[in-house]
Amino acid sequence: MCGIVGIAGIADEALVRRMADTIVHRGPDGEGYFVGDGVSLGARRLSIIDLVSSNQPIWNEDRTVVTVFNGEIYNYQELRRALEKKGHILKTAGDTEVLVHLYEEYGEAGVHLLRGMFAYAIWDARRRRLMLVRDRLGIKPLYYLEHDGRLVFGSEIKAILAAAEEPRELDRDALDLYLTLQYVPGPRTLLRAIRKLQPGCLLVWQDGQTTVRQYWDIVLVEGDRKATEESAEEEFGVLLEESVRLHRISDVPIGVLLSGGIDSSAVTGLLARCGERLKTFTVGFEAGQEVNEINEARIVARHFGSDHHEVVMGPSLADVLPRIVGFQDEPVADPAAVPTYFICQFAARWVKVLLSGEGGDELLGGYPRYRWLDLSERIRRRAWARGMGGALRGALGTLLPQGRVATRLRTLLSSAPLGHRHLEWVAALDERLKGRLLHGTDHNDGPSGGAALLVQELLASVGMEDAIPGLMYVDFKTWLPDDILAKTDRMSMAVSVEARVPLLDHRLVEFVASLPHQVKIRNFGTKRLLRRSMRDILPLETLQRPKQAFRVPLAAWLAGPLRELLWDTLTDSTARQRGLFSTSGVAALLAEQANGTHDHSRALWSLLCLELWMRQFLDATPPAHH
Amino acid sequence: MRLLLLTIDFPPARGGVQHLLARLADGLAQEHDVSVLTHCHPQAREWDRLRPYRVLRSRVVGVRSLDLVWLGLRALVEILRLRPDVIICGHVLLGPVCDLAQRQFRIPYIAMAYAYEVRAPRMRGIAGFTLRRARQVVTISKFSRQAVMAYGIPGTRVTVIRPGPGVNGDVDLDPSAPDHSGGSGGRMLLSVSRLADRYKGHDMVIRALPLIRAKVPDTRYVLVGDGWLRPYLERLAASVGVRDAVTFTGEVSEAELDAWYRRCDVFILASRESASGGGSEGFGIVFVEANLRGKPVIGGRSGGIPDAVLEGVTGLLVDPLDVGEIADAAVQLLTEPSLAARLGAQGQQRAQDELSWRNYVSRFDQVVKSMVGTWDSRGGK
Repeated sequence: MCGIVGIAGIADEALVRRMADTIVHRGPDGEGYFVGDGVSLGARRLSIIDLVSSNQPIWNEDRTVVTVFNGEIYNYQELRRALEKKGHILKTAGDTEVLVHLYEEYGEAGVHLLRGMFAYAIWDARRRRLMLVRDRLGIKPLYYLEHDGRLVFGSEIKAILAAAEEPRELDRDALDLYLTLQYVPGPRTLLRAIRKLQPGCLLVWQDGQTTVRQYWDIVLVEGDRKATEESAEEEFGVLLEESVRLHRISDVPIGVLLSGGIDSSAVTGLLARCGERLKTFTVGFEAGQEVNEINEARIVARHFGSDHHEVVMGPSLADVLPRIVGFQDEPVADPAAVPTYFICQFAARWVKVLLSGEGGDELLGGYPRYRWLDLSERIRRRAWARGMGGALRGALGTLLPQGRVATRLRTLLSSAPLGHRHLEWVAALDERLKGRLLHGTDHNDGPSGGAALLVQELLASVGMEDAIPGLMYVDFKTWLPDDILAKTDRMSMAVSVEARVPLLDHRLVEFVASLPHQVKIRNFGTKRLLRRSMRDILPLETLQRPKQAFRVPLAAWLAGPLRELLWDTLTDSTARQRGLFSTSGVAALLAEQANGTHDHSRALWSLLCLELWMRQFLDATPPAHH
Repeated sequence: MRLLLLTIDFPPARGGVQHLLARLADGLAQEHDVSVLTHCHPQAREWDRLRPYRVLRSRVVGVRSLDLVWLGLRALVEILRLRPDVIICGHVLLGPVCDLAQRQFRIPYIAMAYAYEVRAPRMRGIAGFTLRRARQVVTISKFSRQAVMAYGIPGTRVTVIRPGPGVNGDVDLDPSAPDHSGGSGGRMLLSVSRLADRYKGHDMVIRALPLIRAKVPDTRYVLVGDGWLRPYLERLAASVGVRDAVTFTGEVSEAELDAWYRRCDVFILASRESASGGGSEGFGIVFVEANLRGKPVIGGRSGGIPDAVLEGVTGLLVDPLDVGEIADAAVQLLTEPSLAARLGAQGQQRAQDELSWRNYVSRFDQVVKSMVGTWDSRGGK
């Protein structure tokens, strides 16, 4: 686990060192550089496997292929044996080295043999060719910038900014995406010149030319097959256990981020079955007791006899938030980032590796909206139901007070395309609110922007009649890599801890994706597969708990510890002079929030994170967090 | 001797079991008075006319359970009418009527056991009943023998007879026969199976294809057969960037199938055992079919495949979940012509000799005869 940086096109050691210095938090244990003919590579290392000999960069036998690598290859021992059988001579005991030998053996195709999370660069000196690869689901980040035939890349944006001279220009289309989604879906970032390498893709740079190619994608199977449920459960259980076992590989202590929900509890339970004396960690909130899951986590910890640690987030939020946004690298206005940061920081006192249950909702269809939108799609397809829906929708305005339930119902009965309904459901800022902020007036044309286009495109590429596989695909391509996984990586790396996500092992993902969705989601019950395969392992209370989203007392924060920071940041002269948003629009939002007429928490949180980010990444050189 | 074969699977319906039972009946008819009782089939008349034995057909209405009951009742009538010496129970579902005949009329029965039906959890009850009561059980591989013995049946009552290639009539085995597949050059991996069972492992071969093509760039993968998994497999091929290198032929005629077998360089079916649910390869006649054409084969090390593919003799066995191993085996056979030729030749020899239908029938005949002997001695008491 590390951070990597590099430039293809020039040899400049001082420059790559400067780049690597911006991401020391990703790898405080060591550094290494390679500067060759027309290429400069750098790595910061957090030692987890083979603490002694795996210092990067790592070469092949005749030093014609070199790599810098961020991540973990969980099947590296198996791959080492296979490579040695083919005559390769491996000099270290770690996982990084398999990358160069796989490249020698299979070229670009070598990535198909990797099981794990990774972002790496390989320089092929003979062909003067740079290859960048990112893992299948986007667990590890990789950004790049093309300029003048050169390619600059890094694990984080701030590393690229340390090397790039051009002005930092905000991408307005990306901003629109951010306001709708609370994150920027790849390959865009908020900075016009910088791109993300998409999950499951590899990039090749040669002679100043860059090509990007997808090597893997999730393939969901059509529903409506009589599914053999029993065998699916058992096979799922076998694969999950195997994945958890593989994710234990480490030469340093490991722990589990235990929320009390079924995903992290399953990871805990399976680790305990491996005979591991476990350390588990849970975070609670001081403000907003009703959202605490501390008790649920305690039940699980006690059940498995783990060495359990709890931390309660204190009132120091206002001091920490700007730092958190700085670490986030590109703003992800997911409030769950804050507790994730706190718990990782707390756990770092004991462990260097944390297993988490992230990805379970996307994998197993854990979001209730899949079922609701599926129902809505069925209504839309039947003329008589559509008619009744339309009438109901009309009546809603007068019958129900404005609020969440009414909004949801209106979305479900809407005749807009599925992609638009999906966006209405998930959007942080709806179009009306966006209109008020950007122009000071309501403009209510429905989601017509980039996000709608993107979602419709993704749905069309799946091309299935069923709504559910399409919606799951959209989440796999946007929400999972660009919110969930970006948050998990950045918040853990901020405190030099490696987060691992055993529910996103690609073999497990491929298997679950190949099951008809009826096996995963039925009658509004969610995560059937996991609940049923864990029934002999988890305590009954955990199994029977209804699905609960990980909640954060956002409104309480904005009214309490963050109130001052919020008002200052959004209304001071820096924000006003930036002129991105209508001053009166922002003021109205703040006022409505303060007097309690509307809950704009998510919108205000997005604006706050954005402004804090712009101050660090647009206005100034981003801070190097030593 | 008078023999009666009861079966729900029989040509002209297509399939491995159908073919096996027809070859068996054909062979046994040379020495015995054979009758076959099975379901109706639209094209049955023409097929039945050419048989050197009696084929009786029971009506079908299209409801599986009703058709089965009707076949059972008809079987009772025919047993009374024909008074066979031995009944061959072609499917465990027909066990109850065979058992009735055995108890009431002292007509012993041989139960056929293949693979899925003896391993599937939902078949456990009926399979256990039929197999335990059978005087003899004949099965197709050591793997299936294990599954049968798991019902508490002693090994002495279970005989493994490996089936032969599923080819009708005589195959022209001249390797220089013309190519009818319309292939466009390049190396070819071939699978033949319905695309309806995940455990057949087409997905893993597709996932291995980028690795294979990294070393043998002109490799194509041809899938003969059709089924509900096809759209999934097509999208899968696209997802790993090899859609253009994968050909789906759909269903093909016997002649086209023969041409594909001849045209390919390596036959591959990386079947796996699903963790439960009984899905697995009982034997894998397709491997023998490919061997018969002198082709080397690659099989998943699972189920009854090690009986069909002799490791290092007629082909290679791989871990069906390890794309690296699948790729290595394919690359080895595509790049070492002498090894491929040797395995192909040895496979052909075995297919024509040990696994010939002549051999199958004569071994089955021994089982029939041995059984009647024991019955007579008991009956004489």
